[in-house]
Amino acid sequence: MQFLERAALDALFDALRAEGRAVLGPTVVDGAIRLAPIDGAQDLPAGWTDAQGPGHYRLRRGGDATFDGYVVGPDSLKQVFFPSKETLYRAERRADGKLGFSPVLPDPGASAVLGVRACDLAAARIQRAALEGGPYAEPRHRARREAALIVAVNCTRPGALCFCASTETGPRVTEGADLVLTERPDGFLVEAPTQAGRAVLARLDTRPAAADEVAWVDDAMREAAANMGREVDLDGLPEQLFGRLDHARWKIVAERCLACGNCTSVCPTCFCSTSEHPSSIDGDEASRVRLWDSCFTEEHAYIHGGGFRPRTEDRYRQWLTHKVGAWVAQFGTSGCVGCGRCIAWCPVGIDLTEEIAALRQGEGIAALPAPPAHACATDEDLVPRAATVTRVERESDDVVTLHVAVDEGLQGVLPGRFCQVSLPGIGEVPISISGGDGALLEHTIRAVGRATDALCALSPGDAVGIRGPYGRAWPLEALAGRPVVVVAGGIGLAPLRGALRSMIARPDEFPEVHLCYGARSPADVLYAKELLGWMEVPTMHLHLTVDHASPAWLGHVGVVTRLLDARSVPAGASAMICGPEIMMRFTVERLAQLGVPDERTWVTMERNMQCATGFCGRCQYGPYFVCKDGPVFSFDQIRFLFGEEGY
Amino acid sequence: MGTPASADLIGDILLFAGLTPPMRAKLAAIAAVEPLPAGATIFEEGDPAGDLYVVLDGRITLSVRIPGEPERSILSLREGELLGWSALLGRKRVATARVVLPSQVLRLRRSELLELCEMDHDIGYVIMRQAFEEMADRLLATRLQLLDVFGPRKR
Repeated sequence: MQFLERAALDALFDALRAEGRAVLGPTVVDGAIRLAPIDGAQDLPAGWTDAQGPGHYRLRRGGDATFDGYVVGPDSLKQVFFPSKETLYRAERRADGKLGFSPVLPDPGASAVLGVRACDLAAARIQRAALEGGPYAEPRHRARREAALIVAVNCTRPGALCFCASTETGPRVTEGADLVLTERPDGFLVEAPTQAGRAVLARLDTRPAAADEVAWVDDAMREAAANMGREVDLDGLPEQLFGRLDHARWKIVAERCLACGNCTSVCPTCFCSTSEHPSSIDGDEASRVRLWDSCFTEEHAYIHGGGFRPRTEDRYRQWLTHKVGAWVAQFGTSGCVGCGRCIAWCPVGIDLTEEIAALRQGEGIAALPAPPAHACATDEDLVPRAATVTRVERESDDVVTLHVAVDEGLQGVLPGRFCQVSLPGIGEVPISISGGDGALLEHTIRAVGRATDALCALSPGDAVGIRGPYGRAWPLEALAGRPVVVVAGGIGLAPLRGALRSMIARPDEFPEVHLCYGARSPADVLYAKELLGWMEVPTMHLHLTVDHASPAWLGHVGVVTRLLDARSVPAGASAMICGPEIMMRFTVERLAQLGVPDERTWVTMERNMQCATGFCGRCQYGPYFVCKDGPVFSFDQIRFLFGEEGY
Repeated sequence: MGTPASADLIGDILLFAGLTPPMRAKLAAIAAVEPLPAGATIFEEGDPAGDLYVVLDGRITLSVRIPGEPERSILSLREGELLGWSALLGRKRVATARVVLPSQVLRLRRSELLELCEMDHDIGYVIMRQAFEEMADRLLATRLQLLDVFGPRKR
């Protein structure tokens, strides 16, 4: 540990600039301490202090400390590594009619961020897990993160809303910093845990810290930990929250919550985003722009025609059960670092520590899965590959199957997985793979909105963008050797078609396959020709029903669950289900009555998948991301949440 | 008018699983097995209360008339399912029953069936209970049908 004179603080800026680093640091902007480019010690908020409370943040003059007079403002490293708005790629229509996609990747110059607190370094680690630690890594986030040198500050005077001691993320800086300052009246005690930090330190005129100064830091940290304005008990909280989804407190807090999303904007770990597809007026150039989003917006969980979380109580519950609940199952850590920002910046002063304490009072414990192990994350720049429609088959009034050739070919095309299909300037949608291989994909699409309308109107030769495939495939290896019952409702047959084709092609492994398929009417039956062919396949037993028909229809009439009996569900069978969620609910119940256990029942879930890589956070389903943990789940994985209103 | 039903046949029908052999014999005495060709109409919507049927095999579809629209099939019945429950309540037929695939039905004569149920409440209980169970399943399926779960129709 070294000692740096207060007057020598400008030398730190010089040292950072000597390395070619642009310096960001705390400074007073618009009445708050923000993170902004600063030139020297004179820009730091020396002599300012903040007063924070629920729904309250004010700066006033007081004291003469450079860092110790205040704690965190609304900004955090999130703004630095994960900007609130950024272009992901540009698309252009080339002269040959094809689409050209070019990634927009940042070229961040070397930077230094000054005055970062322990809670925000913990938050950066947590955001890194979400954006770089899953099956995919976001290269833009990594580039910005790696370009930054962090000069952290130990908090010796925690604020009224601070509770990092109870989240074990502070007040002492223990991770993620290159230099750590601890402020004393006469100057700063400096530690340099990394090589990069030591290089900067070497440029400074410091002296070794005396033993009593080193001991003072320890004492100051102990005292700070004991002086937190708030506390929270996170122990066992995820299991409690998911066991108390009907707790009376959700309604009570929802009466105050405005669903404004301020808490998620200021939260240093919230990472949800949305995207837009702006285009030039002639449509020849377009781009995809990512923007921060909040789970408090209606759009967050919205898919064709309806939202999964219509009420404020659904959204608050989603936020809190994710932040301090599901987060643990997803990333092995709570999403709360005890910074208190969500309390200060909530316009009605909702206090997360109070809400957690209230929710702990109650009954109910749910078991949650352990975090998934992702051995290595592959880079995912979110840029589509150029592809061409080769054939269009009209399946019904509002459903078409596109055959798409991807120029570079695709790896991992398996039934149950899905691709992101896009049209520049219009949008991108997740579409399950209904057939095909690495060179040619089949996507069956129902026209239900802007992007799907446009996709359904394509003709052979038209260009599209394809990303993927993503997600978990049907576990055909696990299903082999037993009778299999496939239950499909409506367009739910699409993700099952490839699996059915595979099972038909492997009769030794799949000697008895029953397809129970329900459609709205005979005109809505998908793949009619192929179904007729399947009737001739000895291992395949087709049970088809429609909700209503004309008297000329000789097939079954009624919902698909009426097809499920001992004839279509043989003893020892496994099941695969895809269809509207309510149909899947009735089907699972009926199959359980017929002796199919939850662990041999596989379902595909549908939520608002936008990035398909786990980055955007929109397809969360309790502890899962439908895009990367699903869309195929065994029913025993999701039983505790399935059918829960507002999830 | 078909062939007389045997007590064994009655015993094979899941619907009557709760009946003792003497009860089955009583039921067999008022029942007949009838083959029905495809295209036949068993009863029509609005017909007065008639006999009760159990589908033995084949496929029979219930349809309703909607003024100004083509007739619409709303439910098909197959092996083991009850047809014409309105017989048990003495109501008019609420749907038209058409044979779509060659079928066999067990036909229970209404007045004798009701009389049997009145005379022997044990038989009556089993029959009413089974009919109720099937109606409950059908109600649940109808609710699902009502929800029109396949999403909005094309705009």
